[in-house]
Amino acid sequence: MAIAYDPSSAQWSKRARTAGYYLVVALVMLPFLFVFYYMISTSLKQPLAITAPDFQWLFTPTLDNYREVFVANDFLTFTVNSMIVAVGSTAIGLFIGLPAAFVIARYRVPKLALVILSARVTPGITFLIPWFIIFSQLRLIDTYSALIFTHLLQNLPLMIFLMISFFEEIPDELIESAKVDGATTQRTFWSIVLPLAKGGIAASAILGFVFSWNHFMFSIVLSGNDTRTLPVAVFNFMSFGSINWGAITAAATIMSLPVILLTLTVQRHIVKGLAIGAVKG
Amino acid sequence: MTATEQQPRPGPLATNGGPQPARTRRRQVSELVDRHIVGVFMTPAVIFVVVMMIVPVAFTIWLSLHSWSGGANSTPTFIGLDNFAQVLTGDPRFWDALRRTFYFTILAVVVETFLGVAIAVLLNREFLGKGLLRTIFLFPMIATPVAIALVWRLMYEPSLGILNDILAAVGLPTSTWVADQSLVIPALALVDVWEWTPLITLITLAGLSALPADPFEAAAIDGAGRWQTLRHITLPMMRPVIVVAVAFRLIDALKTFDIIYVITQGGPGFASETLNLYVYTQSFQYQNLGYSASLLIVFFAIVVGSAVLLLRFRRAGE
Amino acid sequence: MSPPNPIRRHRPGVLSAVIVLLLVLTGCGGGESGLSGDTGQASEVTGEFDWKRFDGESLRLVFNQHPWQEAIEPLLPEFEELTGMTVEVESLPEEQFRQRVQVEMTGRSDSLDVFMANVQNEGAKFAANGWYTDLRPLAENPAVTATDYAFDDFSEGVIDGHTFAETLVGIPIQLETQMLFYRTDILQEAGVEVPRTFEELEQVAEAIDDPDGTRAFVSRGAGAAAVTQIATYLFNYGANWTEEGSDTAAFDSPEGVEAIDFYSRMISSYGPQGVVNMSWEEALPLFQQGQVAMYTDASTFMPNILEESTEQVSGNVGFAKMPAGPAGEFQTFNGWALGISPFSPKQNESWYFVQWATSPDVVARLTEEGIAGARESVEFGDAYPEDWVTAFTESLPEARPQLPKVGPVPEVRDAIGTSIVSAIQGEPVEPAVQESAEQFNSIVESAGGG
Repeated sequence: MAIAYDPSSAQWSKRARTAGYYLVVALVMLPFLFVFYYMISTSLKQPLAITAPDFQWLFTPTLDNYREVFVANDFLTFTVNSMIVAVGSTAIGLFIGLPAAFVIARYRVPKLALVILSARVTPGITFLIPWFIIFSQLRLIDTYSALIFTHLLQNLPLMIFLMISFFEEIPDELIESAKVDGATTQRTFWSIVLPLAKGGIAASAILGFVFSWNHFMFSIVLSGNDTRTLPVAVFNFMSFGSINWGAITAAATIMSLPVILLTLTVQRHIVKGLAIGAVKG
Repeated sequence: MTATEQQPRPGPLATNGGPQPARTRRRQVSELVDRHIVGVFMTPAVIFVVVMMIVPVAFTIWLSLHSWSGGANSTPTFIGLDNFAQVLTGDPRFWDALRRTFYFTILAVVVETFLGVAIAVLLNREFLGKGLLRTIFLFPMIATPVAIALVWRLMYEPSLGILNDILAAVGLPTSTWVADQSLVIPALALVDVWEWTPLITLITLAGLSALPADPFEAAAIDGAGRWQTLRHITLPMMRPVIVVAVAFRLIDALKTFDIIYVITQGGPGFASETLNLYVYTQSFQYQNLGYSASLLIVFFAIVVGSAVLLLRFRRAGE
Repeated sequence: MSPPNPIRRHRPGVLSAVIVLLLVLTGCGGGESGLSGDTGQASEVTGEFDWKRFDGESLRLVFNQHPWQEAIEPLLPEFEELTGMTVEVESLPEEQFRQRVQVEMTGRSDSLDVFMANVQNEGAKFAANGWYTDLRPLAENPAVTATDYAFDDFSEGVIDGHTFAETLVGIPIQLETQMLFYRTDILQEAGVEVPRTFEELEQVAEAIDDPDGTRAFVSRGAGAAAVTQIATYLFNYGANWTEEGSDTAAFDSPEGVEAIDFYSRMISSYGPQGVVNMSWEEALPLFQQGQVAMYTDASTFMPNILEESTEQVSGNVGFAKMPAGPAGEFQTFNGWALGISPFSPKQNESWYFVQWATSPDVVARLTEEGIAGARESVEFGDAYPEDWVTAFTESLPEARPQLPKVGPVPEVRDAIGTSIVSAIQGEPVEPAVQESAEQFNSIVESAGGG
């Protein structure tokens, strides 16, 4: 990995530069971090602190909002629903996507890759309306299958593309020597390639999970009372009378937490995947 | 290795012993699968995508030639290309939505690109906490958009939100932000910028670190300043990477739904109604299913058309 | 090196499978009719009326978050005890509620039984789509209707307003007129009387407005939501939604433009910021918290104002009829009803709920809570502020519907709403209103086709 050469660092006073540099970096990070701070702090505030005319930097924290979110609403059910749909679409995505990504990477079948790419490019709503009508006729509205399959359609291309990059990293020689040993491509795939690409697989699985978890548009229409997922539930949270911002930010925090934590575990691979994807073009 | 040996030493996956009947059959199946490995491995994914894509697209095309309100009593009535005629000539709301879609997209993506690349260039050196930084940078992209949108909606609140507090604190006049017809699209674009600049930054950073060191050393020897290096070496070399990132981001931005729907639902009035939202409204609020199908096709054509154009542009640049 | 692509060979197979699938699905499309003999159930039930006939069944109710819904929810256990049925209630904010019902209707969901209906708004469209069960056969079947139901207690006019093409689409649960809510203490302090005309309204607003403190006036500004609210202003300036006897827009007349101009001037000059994003969910709390002194909206918010406001507000609030305009004084009304989904397999069970919720007993109790029921026999007890009762009972008899009587109401509401939003933001009113009228006409015209 080459480090970009910075010719002037030798000229300036290193110490002052470093301190100033860190300051600039901090300033850059500030807006991005601030929104999260705002979300979490509002969720811990009491109603009066939120509606006060000036922004309250200091306040007495309370867990009431979180309590309200869980107790007064079916939040656990919604979480479970989101979980089922996300895990379902990710699992199926891996199952049919990994083999596909592998052959695309190995055998260079760009035309089919294009088909899959077009699914990525197409606006979701193009699928939503016909699927909504068709699912209604088939009485599949408010079922997990409808949600899983539609989420899968959006996830699959993403996962496949990420995996192609990782699979391409595996040296051909490794696969060839296994072949010479008499193994079928299949066996090679299962026993050699997959373990080697573990990190990438984890990354695409988690990204797949994240995008399904976060998905909103399909869920508004296709989910119903039984299968409502978190984003829809939280959006419906705006209660009558006055908008309960404390509860909403609490719900927003709870909703975002799992995906952020999950991403942390594989962030190295995600970034790497982005890198490979970028350089490859 | 002697001439009599048929194979090199057995590898980890070599089968041993002589052929036995069951093994032969299994082996034959295995080999059959292997010969068609591409087919076997690809088929499920391709079938899934084809079915899930072709069926809705075909249905949409069919529906766009009909008029149907989705009612229980009504059946679709064939009206040929009337819907399309209406979209292109009789629907000012469509053209407005189109205009807004491009306004939002171009504004957001241009700002994201400039900021993203600038930040990447800034961060492109080894320093303490760089890994942590990269991790934090993932958060805006990963956090649930609905959650982000709700928080921004609060931030934009004229009386409760912090943005007006900040403006007031520095003595600037407050704004109604998303309640202001002329400000709403830039305000929404700001949310998008917040969310996706990190993506551009991360991709650019990755690209930067993959650059070879030679050109830079040569430039240093020639006495080039930082600014010159940046303009004449770094950026041109980064062009392919940045273009790809921008292309993907552009396509996605055209389809933005969550933040607009959650924050303004297309309001005030129609001021933030992009094409995506307009189609949604026509389908699920007005129940004009045939008409919305024709809108969908037009929207689809625009997005795919933009994608193709970008691909051409990228290829031209190489 | 790469093996021949087997997919190519299989393509025709895949494609034909897809085509067959498509044909099968679209073939299924038109055939299924929603009213598949569901209402036939009603006549199948005979015998004595028994509240517990459907013991053990369950119902799913979808409600709009509304004072009526708030009032009825604590009473639901009584229904469950009376009939032995269980009810599952889903109550959503108005915007999401409307969409939810539409989506479920389009999807022919069989899990939706009873829902709140705003007939002035979506009645025509829903009825045309066959999305209401005809309630008349149910109400007239003594096997499923209690003897003391007193169906005649609903005035003919009200029942007519809920009938489309011979179908009684819903039983009204509440009626509301538009009212002026005001702070008696603030008006008194400024030495002004309650405005009886629009001119006075503006004068009073001018006198009491405090840009740094309590603003003078608020009303809905959020486009479509505001359309019901400007009706009174339109009528009192002498304008109409549509021409007499036709569906052509008439609100772009000079009087209509004046009315819309006045409305938007009032709320932009004397009201809080961000009003273009306000429906009642945002405006009501402002009044309740004492941030505005006058507010025009539905009479049905009276209990919320009395019970949920700060002490200073609830102790000093007055209710009045909408002020008169240059063309006279017209009052407007709206209301919600309960409808039964034709796709529900539980028609009779659903009717049990509807009749219970609109029964004389329950209506009387809800009226005590401040929800003005639609029965003629409704009496307002002592808990009601006198000025509210006066305003309400005087407004109702001659009141006109708030919304235009056309098919695609939600769509025209959006079209009309844009002119309100533009006007509030200071753009020229006349061209905006004319454009809205043009859109109105084109929407109504194309809707006529199907």
